[in-house]
Amino acid sequence: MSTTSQKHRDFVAEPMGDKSVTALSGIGDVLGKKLAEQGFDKAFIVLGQFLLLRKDSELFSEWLKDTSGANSRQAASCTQCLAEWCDAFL
Amino acid sequence: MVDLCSLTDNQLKHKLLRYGVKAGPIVASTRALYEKKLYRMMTQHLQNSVNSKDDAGKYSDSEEEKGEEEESGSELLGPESVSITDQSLNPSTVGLKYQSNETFYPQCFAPPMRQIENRLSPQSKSAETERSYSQTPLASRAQWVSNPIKCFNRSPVNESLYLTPECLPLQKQPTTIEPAIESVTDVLMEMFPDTAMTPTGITATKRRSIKGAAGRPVQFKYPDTPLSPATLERQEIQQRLVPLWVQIVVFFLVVALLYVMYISMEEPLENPFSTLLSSLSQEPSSDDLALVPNSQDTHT
Repeated sequence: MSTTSQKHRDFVAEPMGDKSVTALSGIGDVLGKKLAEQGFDKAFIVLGQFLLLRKDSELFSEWLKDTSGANSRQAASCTQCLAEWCDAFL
Repeated sequence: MVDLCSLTDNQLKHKLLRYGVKAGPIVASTRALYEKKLYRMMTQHLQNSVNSKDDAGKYSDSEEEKGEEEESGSELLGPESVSITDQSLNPSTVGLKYQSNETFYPQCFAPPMRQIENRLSPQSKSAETERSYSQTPLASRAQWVSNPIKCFNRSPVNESLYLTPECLPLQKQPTTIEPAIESVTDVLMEMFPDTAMTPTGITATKRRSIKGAAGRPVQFKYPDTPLSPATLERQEIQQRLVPLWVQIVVFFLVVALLYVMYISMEEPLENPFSTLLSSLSQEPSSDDLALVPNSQDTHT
């Protein structure tokens, strides 16, 4: 992805705190609802899964597609967002 | 292939490691992903072995096997038991058997451990290879026949191979190779505990792609991001290390000091001259006064 969305920049700019899962770029209302149904209602829980997979973007994208039914672009956007957040704040 | 669902977490991790995948913690939410990944790696591995079929034809004993195909059903039990005892008794047999079986590796890519083994025991090598050549087809067939039911369905490529008899040795390789790999990797793991095991035995790190400013902190990428209060304070302090009023006070102090020095320098310089001048002017006058009465005295 060459450009980043405003949502991406907003998320990467500051600690995620208690943000909802829909604050992640690539996760809209529909995907957010599906994730919340499976217990992933906060962004930090999704981050936990990302870290469990050793920040492996390929595996994480696959997981996101399986779990929420995201398409490749949405999964890649969310993965990039989390990866950059980790670079900045971990 | 093994039933992936029945593996323990540790076994799954070791198997992934053997395919060069460094798995993270295997917990409930990640296990399904890792199982899928391992399955993908295994099928990829199989397809690779199918691709290098020409080498296999060059080195493998397919003719011999065709002849034995008919009688293999009756001879199943005998050779299998022999091969098992061989494996348990003689570790070098296992390594060599692995080498002779796994013909889809080009020789230069063969894991280094096995070459060392060959060098160490050259006299036993000939005998062992003969024995393994004669025994492996039957033994592997026996193992293949004994556990044909698998957890995962075969990929289409493998199913088509299943029908062609000359590719059978390729297809059943994983079942026979796996115990051999395990014994070899154990030695390797003992020697190099912290290197990840790859299928070819060659370890190489992937070069990180340079994509924009991927590795850089956020400040450089988004210059308009709000700074934290701590950094703002630090910047303010750096801008004005000494407060303005202190600077003014110090300036006036220095000016006052210079003025005092100037004053004190001026006075001592003036005084000697003034006293000298005054003394000079007073002395002649006293002489004159002294002389005048004398002259008056002399005149009188």
